[in-house]
Amino acid sequence: MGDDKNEITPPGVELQAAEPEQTREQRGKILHDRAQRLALERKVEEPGERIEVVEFLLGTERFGVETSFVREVHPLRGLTPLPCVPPFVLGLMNLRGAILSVVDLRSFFETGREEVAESSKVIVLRLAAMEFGILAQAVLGVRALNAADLQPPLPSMTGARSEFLRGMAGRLLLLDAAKLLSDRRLVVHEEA
Amino acid sequence: MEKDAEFQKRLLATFTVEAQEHLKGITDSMILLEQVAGTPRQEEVVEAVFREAHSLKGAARAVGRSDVESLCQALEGLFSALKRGEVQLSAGLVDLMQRARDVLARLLVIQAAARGEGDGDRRAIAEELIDAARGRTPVAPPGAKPEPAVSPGAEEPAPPLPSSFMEDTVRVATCKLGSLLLLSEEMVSAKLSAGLHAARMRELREVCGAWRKEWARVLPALPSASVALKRVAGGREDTLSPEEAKAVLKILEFEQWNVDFQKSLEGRALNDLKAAERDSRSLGGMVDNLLEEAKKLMMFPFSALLEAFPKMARDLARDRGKEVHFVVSGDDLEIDRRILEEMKDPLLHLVRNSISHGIELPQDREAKNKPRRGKLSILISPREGRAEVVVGDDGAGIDVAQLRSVLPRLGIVAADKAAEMSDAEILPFIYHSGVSTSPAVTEISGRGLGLAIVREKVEKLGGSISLETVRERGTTFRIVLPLSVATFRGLLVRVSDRLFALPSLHVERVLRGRWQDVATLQNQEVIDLEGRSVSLVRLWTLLELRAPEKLTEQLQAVLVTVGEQSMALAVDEVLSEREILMKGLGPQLSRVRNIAGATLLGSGNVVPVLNLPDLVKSALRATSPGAPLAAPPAEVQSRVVPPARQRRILVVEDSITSRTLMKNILESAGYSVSTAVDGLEALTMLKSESFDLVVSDVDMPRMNGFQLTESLRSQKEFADLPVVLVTALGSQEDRERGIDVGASAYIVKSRFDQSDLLETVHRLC
Repeated sequence: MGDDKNEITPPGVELQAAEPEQTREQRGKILHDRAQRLALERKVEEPGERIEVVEFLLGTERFGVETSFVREVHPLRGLTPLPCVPPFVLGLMNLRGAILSVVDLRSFFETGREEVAESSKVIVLRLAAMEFGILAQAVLGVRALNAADLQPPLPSMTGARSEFLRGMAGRLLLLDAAKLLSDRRLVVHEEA
Repeated sequence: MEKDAEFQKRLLATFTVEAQEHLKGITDSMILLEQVAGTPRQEEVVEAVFREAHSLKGAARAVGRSDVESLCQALEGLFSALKRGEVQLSAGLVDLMQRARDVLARLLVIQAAARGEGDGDRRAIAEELIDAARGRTPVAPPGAKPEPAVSPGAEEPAPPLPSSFMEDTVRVATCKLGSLLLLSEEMVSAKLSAGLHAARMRELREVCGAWRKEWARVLPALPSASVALKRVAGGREDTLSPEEAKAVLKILEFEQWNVDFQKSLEGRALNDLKAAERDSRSLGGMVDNLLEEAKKLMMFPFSALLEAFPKMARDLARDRGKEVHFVVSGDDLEIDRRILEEMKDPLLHLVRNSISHGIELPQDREAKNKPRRGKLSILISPREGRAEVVVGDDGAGIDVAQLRSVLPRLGIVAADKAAEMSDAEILPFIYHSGVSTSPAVTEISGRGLGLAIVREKVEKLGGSISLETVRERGTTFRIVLPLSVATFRGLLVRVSDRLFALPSLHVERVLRGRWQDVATLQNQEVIDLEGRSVSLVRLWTLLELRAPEKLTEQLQAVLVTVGEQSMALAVDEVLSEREILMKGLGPQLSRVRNIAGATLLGSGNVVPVLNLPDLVKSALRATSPGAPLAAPPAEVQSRVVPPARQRRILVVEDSITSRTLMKNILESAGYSVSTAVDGLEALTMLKSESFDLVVSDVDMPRMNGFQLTESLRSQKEFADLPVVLVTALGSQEDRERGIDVGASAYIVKSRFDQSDLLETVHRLC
C-alpha cells in the first residue's frame, strides 16, 4: 500500500514553493486540487500495488487478512467459554492481563464450526477501538498479493461470507477486515 | 453577598472551560460528520454531536446563559431530526451547521457585560435551524461553493481529526504522572530477574540431561549384573565372573556419583527457590506501589463535586421560604472519581431532604427557641483508609412516632409488632421503599423511594450508611465510602464444571442443605430459611448451561439480595472468597446478558464475573407469570409483593438521552417498557398494544405531551389510563395546564428525579 506514495509528486512541494503571500483563496484552491488529485490516484489501483496478508486456514479453506489489521498472532491458550452469548463467540482469553474475546468466523458465516484444537491459533484483529481474536486452524504465514490479481468472489458464494470478502487471489479468500471490524452484527449487546 | 458574587464568578469560569470543551467536541464531530456522511458511522457521529449540544445546553442553563441555551436547543433539534432520519444530510445542511457553530463560538466569547450583542445573528440562525429540523432544506447561501472539503472563509484552519473522538479525558497533575513513570521503570528489574529465573531453569534442565546421559552409560550393565547377583543370591553358584563383577562395580560407582549429584541438585534448587521467593516479594511490592499510584490518577477531591452545592442549597432554601446556613468542610479529601460521580445524586438527595423536611420555617424555628437560620453541613474526614461523609442538619428530626404509625399501614410491619419495637429498631425502616413521613409528595423531595435509592447506591459502592436523629435537634446521616473502586470481593463458584465469580456485595450468605428439603410451590422451588421462604433457582439453568447429570444429595447455594429481591442460587460447589479485579469483556462484547465482566485467577485463567441484578431479572422472567418469586411467610403476607404481572409502561420522549434514561430507570425497577418518539407515535402504539401507564415528555415535535394527554382523555378507552407528564418546563402555568388536560401527575425534571418518577409510577399502577 505504501509503495505508491513515492510515485506521486509529494503534494507538499508545490505549497512550499509558492509565494508566502498566498491569499486564503489560493491556498484553499491548492488544498482542494490536491485533495481531488489524491482521491483520483487512489481509485486506480496501480498494477504494482501489493497487499500484504496473513494467510490462515479456516477448516480447509485458505483465508487472508491484511497485516495492517492484525495486531498479533497467538497460540490458543486457556480459552474460557462464556454463557449467554451467540454461538460465534467462542469465549475469553487472557492476553497479557487484558481480556480478549475470541470469535469463530465459520460460525459467524454459517459455514460450519471451527474446531478448537491444541494447535489452534488466534489472530488478533484491531481497528480503532474495536478488537477481537479470530480462531484459525493454522496460520500459514505472511505473503504479498498483487492487487491486480484480486478477483471478485465466486457467484456461488452467497450469504454472510461473501459480504465480508474483498476478493479472491487464486484459492485464497481475502477478508474485508475493515468491514468485519465495523459490523454491528459481530458486536454482542444484550440486556437481560 | 460578596461570597455569592465570588461564587458566581467561579461558576462562570467553570462554565467557560466546559463550554470550550463542548464547542470543540461539536466542531470535531461536525467535521467528522461530513466525512462519514452516508456511511454506517454517520449515526454514531450524529449521536455524539447531539450529546455535545445537549450537554452544553444544560451547562448554559445552569449559569443562566439563555442565549447559548436556546441556540443549543435549536442545534439539538436539528440533530435529533437527523437521528430520526426525518431530514437528510446535505451540503446546505452542513453549511448551516457550520454557521451555527460559528455563531455559538462568538456567543461564548462575549462576556456577561456585552450580553445582547450578536442576538440578531443568534435568532436568525436558530430559526434557520428549527426550519431545517422540520425538513425545510436550507439552500446553500450565495457564495458558498458546493465543495465542502475546504472552506476558504473559515476563520481558523480545520483542526486535524481527533483520534480520541468520544473518549472521556481526565486532567492529571504532572507530578502524579512522574511518580507513575518512575514506578513503571522499576518494573524493568522485574523483567530482568524473570529472565534470570528462566535461564536458571534452563540450566537445571541441562543438568538433568547430563544425569540421563550418565544413566544411559550404566544401563547396559544392569541386566547381566542383575542375572549374576540373582544367581549368587539363589545359592546356585558363589562366584561372579570378572565381567559380571565389573558390571556390578559400574552400578555401584554410579550410585556413589548419584548421591553427590542429588545433593548438588538439591542445593541448586534451594538457591533458586530463595531467589524466586525474594523476587516474588519485591515484585509484589512493586506491583502494589504501581497500582497505588495508578489509582491516584483517578483520585479527585470532594470539592470537585461539592462546589455547586452551596448555591443549590441556597436556591432550594429560598424556594421553600427557609433560611439555611450551609457549611462544607474537609472537601479536599481525594477519592476515586467514579465514586464521586456515583455519590452526586445521593448527596443531592440528602441535602434536598434536609431542606424540605428537616429544617423548619424561620418562624417555626423562632417559636422553638432556635436561631431563625437552620444549619446544614457536609463534613468529610478520612477514617481508616476510607472516607466518612456526614450530612447533618439542626432541623426537626425524624418523627419516629409517625414512622411507627406509617409502617403497619404500608403493611411492612404488623401493628402490634411496631408498637413493641424500640425507636432504634423502627428508624432503619426509613430506608424502606414506599416509606415517607412527609404528608405530601412534593416536587423537590420524592421521598419514599429516595432514601432506599441512596442506601442502594452507597452499598453498591461498597460503603455503608447510618442515621441518627433527635426530635427537634436534627438528623445526621453518616456515610462511609471506600476511597477506590478497583477491587472488590467475590465468591468463586463452580457451575456445570465451569468457574464463575459472584460479587460478594450482593451475597448474603452461603447455604448448605439437602436437595430433599427443597419444596415446590406453584412450579417454583423454595427452600426454608429459619421460617422465611426463599425461592431456589438453579444457576446452570439461568446461565443456559447443561444441568448436572445427577444431583448430589448435598445442596450448595448462595443467597443473594438485589434491591428488595432475595433468592438462592444453586451451584455445584462454592469454592472460596477472594479479592477480584474486574475487567471488561472487550469492545466486541459490549454487553453480555448475565455477565458483568471477567477476572483473572493467579494461574492466569479467565473467570467470568456474574451480573447479579441481571440474573435476578432473568430468574423473575423465567418463573411462570402469576407465580410470585418468593412466597412471603404468612405474617408478612401484606408486604410489598412484586406485581403478579409485569406492568407495561409506554415512555414518550423525543430526546434519546432522556428516553434511554427513563427506560433504564423503569426497567431496573422491574417494569416492561416500550418507547415512542412523540405523541403521534404513542397514540398509534396505544391503539395496537395495551399499556398500564404512559410517561410522556411535554416538549416534543408533531404532537406534544399536552396534546397527547388531551387526545387520550377524549377517548373512552383511555379515559382512565394514568398519564405522567415529565418536563423541564417548571412554571406554575405549565403545571396547571398539565392538570387541566387531565394528566395524572406532573413531574419537573431535576437532577435526581428517579425517586419521584418511580414513586409516582408505583403509586399509579
